[in-house]
Amino acid sequence: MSGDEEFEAHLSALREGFRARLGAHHASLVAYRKAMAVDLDSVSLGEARALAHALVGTAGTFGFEEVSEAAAELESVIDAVLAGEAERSMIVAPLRSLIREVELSL
Amino acid sequence: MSRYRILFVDDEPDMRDIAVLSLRREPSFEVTACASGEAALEVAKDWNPDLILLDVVMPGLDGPATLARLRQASASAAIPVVFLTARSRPEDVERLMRLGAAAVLPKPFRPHALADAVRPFLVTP
Repeated sequence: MSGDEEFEAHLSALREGFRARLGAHHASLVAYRKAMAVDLDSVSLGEARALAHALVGTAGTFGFEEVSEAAAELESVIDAVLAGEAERSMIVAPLRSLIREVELSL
Repeated sequence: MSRYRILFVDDEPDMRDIAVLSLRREPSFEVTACASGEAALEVAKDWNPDLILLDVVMPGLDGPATLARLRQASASAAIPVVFLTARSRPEDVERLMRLGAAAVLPKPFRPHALADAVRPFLVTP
């Protein structure tokens, strides 16, 4: 196997490992959406922001560009909420979009 | 052939794995990775890398605080530091460059292109 083939094989294996872990991220996002539906105001934004931030970099680097872009949008809206520039309800739509993009990638 | 030591610092295991794989495509790069700013300070002191690729948002010592500590230590004061960040708006880049970064590269990055992207920041020994 050439160096390039070996690299591509390793890259493919890492990508599939990441795809498998997306399932756990999906579960976290769905749980977050459900918690928001119960009580929008009491849900902590920090965990969702951290997950979105992580997905921007990792998903995009592994080739899941749509997940990365949806995560960036969610992170941006959460930042706006934390800065007092947007209502908490604004999080719902980008959160749904991110969940959908993750589902399409599984 | 000159060999270069590159330290990659990111709290995300997936990001460390793919960065190490990407950088090791270049035969002249010797690469190691760690998961925190605190660990990076120790590795920088003991391993003497030629370049540090540093995440910005990390728990504990974040990227900017890590850079500041690296600059305070004589052993690591002159090591070029390149930030990799998912927040690369012009104002973010400007802020990081003012801290003394050699460059700010965006995340996500292309695995096939990372080695070429960091090469300009390596000083020939």
